[in-house]
Formats: sequence, structure tokens, C-alpha cells
Amino acid sequence: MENSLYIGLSKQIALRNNMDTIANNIANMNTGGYRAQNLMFEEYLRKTKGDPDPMSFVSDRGQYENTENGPLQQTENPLDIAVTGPGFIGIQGPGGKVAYSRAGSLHMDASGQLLNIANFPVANAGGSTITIPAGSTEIKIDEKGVVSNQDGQIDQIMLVEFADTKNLKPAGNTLYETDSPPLPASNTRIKQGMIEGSNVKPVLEMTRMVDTLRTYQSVQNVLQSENDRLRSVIQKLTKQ
Amino acid sequence: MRSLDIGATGMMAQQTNVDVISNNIANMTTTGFKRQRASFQDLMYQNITRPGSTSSDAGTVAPSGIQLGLGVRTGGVYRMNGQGPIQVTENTLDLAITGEGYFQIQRPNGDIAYTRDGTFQLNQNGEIVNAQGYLLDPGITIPSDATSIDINASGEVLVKTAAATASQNLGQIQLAGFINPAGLEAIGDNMFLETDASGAPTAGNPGTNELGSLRQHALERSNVNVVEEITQLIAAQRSYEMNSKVISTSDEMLQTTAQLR
Repeated sequence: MENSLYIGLSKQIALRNNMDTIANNIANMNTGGYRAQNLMFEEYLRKTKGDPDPMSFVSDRGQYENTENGPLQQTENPLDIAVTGPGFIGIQGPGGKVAYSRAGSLHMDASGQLLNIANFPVANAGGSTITIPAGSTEIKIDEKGVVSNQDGQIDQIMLVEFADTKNLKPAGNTLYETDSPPLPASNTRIKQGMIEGSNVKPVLEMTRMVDTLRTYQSVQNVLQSENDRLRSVIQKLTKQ
Repeated sequence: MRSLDIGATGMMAQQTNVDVISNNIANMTTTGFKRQRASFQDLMYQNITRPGSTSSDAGTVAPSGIQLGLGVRTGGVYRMNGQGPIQVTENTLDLAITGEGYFQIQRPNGDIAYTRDGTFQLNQNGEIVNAQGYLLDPGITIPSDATSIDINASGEVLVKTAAATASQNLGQIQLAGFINPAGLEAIGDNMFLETDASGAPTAGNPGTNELGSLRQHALERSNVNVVEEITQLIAAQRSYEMNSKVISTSDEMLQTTAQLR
């Protein structure tokens, strides 16, 4: 009897998750290297006894990212890099495992080790860390990630591409983790002195938010009228 | 509601418009800069009733169908390659092109880039280089004992040295022309690369075959017209506001729907 309530509830839960994703996108509107995320929904059919038509609920299917490149902002900081193209730079994540990132606001710690914004060391082409010797005055990072100072070349930042970016799972702290093998970067370039902004489009997020809100209200309407119907059924049928 | 998404496409198109205009204004004093313009196209249409479909068994045709548009999209951002104003400087190697054509610059990776920016200088070997130190192509080397350098309108480089009384012709600066200069790919630093859209370059001496002539001691400034850019900016801003009104009106209509009952 309350099936319509459950169907409406499944939609509201899905809308609540959608709203969380939209709020996350808007909160990260200025985070460097952030990519907007979207949810996918699908119909979930359930057969009912005695009724030839199955009932259809909504369920979350999964989450995907918008892989468009974000806008480049110039900062003039020699340790800020922007990754243009489809690739990623390698970061030594927690536990020593290599993770990948697009966020390029780098800085040095007291021993000269190159760290990213979340204080994880930047990985070189072999997977270990990059240390800039003390007394370096001009630090140049060229298009292929080669780091050099006034004396010459120091090291090279790991720059990779993936055949299928669907397998990259966001691991927080601007990192992505995956088990797929990385490919050497061919179309990716590093630009020094610039940062890639987030690719969140505020207009789209606001219209999705409006859409979500109004759909939520419509479903609420359905639930409310179902509730009234059930109550009047119980009242009418139990009148003595 | 379709109008919610249509309003969103309108706002994003005006955002692109403002981005192009702000790039033009930022490059107002860049030597040899050519302003860009964004052009928009309507997005596809959804056919509720196709125009030309029959309306009865006798074969009568309805005069028009029902087609709902779905918004706007950016059709292209293209360059206006009009000549910029010429500014006279006192630099010996400042060159301006009056007319069509591009200087050829040899990039460090071997390929040729094309530019209208004529600010050239000498490097430590006496070769003519641009602001990044890339060589002019075909290369011309000025001897170290040259007292004056003259470049005439056909691009011939004539130097006077202390030893000889007559000027010595060191070579001729060549320009490259394209069938479709708007199809060149901009790579920044005032340089362009050839693409399939621009066609192959035809190099030649300045003043021949519709190539422009050179002017020494002068630079070509950007062809950005500030008044026109600010007018476009105002129009883009108002269009942005009106599209946001479309979105908030659709929101109110959806609210009315949700409150039915």
C-alpha cells in the first residue's frame, strides 16, 4: 500500500546525494586542479506479486568527473606549475605508493624537497622524491617537467597520461589513485608560473541546484498527497 | 524545463564573449596583436512537428512546423587581421609590415613560426633575433664593425662599415604570406604556426605578390579598438543579466508547479 511512498523516498534520497555533489563542486570552485563531479542515476525495476508491471525506483549508478581542462591563472611564482593536456604529475602519496594529481602549487620544505600543496613529495620519473640543492637561485621547470637551477639540470617531474581516465579514483588531498599502468606523456605540457583553476562552471551548478530543489518539492508534494490519501482511506474504512 | 538549460547556455556563451573581449583589452599595447571576435550559433532544434509534414490524407502540407531551439553555442573565435597603426620608434632594428605577410622566426625545435611583431635585436654573434632570442629566417648576420644598418622597403639589409665607403648588401628579409591568415594557430609570445586551415606559406620579398612592404624604425601596434571593445563588453554584460533573469523566472515557474495542490 505504501509503495508510492517508497518510490518517492528513493527519488528524494537520490536528489539529496545529487545536492551533496553540487555543494561539493561549488565549495571547490576555487580549488586548483579540481574537476567537477556528476552523479548518474538509473532506473531500478522491481517485480511485484500479481501485477504485470514492475515498479521502478531510482538508484545511484555511479559518479564521473568532467575532464575538461580548467582555466590557467598566472601567478609568477616559479614553483607554481599548471598541467595542460590530458596528463597528470606523479606524487608520492601516503604509504609511499605513487598517486597522481593535477594540482600544481608546489613548495619546498626545509631540506629542499619539492612538496605539493598537501605536503606530499613530488615524484620524479623513477618514483622517488625530488630535492632541490640549497643555494639555488633560479629554478626553471620546462615543458617536459625537467627541473633545473642556475647550475644545470637537477631532476624531472613524473608526467604521465592514462589510456582510460575512468579508473582514476579521487583519494582526497588533490590526489587520484589507480592500478592501471601509466603511459609516457605525449600531449601534456607543464607551464611554470601558472596554476590550473577548477573547471566548475558556476552557472551550470546553479541551474542543477534549482532543478534539484524544484524536483524535491514536487516529490514532496507526491508524498504529501499519498499521505493524505492513506489517512482518508483509514478514516473512511474504519468509521463505525 | 527547457528554459532553465537554455538560459544556462546563454550565460555561458556570454562568459566566453567577455573572456575574448578581456583578452583583447589586455593586449591593447601588444606589438602586432590582432584582435579576436567570438561568433555564436544557435544550438540544434527539437522538432515537435517537422516542417513540411502532411496534415491530411489529401496530401496537404502544414505551412510551418513546431521547432523548439535549445540555446546558443560558440561557433568560432576568429581573428580580425586588419592593419594596426604604425608607431615610429628610434630603434634601428624595429620593423613594421604595412600590408600582408609575416616575419619568419626559427624556433629552437626547428620549425618555423610566423609573427607580425617586428622588434628585432642583435645577439652576441651579430645575428638578428627576436625578443626571445630566436633567429630570424633566413638568417642575416651583421658584421661587428658596422656603423649603420639600413633596411629599405623591399627588406634589403644594407650596412656601412668603416672600411668601405659604399654600403654592403647583406641579404634580403623575406615575408611569408598565407591564403587564409585567420587559420594560423596562435602559440603565444606573438607567434603563429601554420595549420591545414591556413594553407602553406608562400615566402617572398616584401612588396612583391601582395606581400606588404617593410618600414624601418617603426612598429605595428595592436589593432584593438578600445571603444568598440567596451561597447561589446556592455552588451555582453546586459545579455548575461537577461539570461540570468530567464533562469530565475523558470525557477519561479517551477516553484508554482511544485506548489500546485
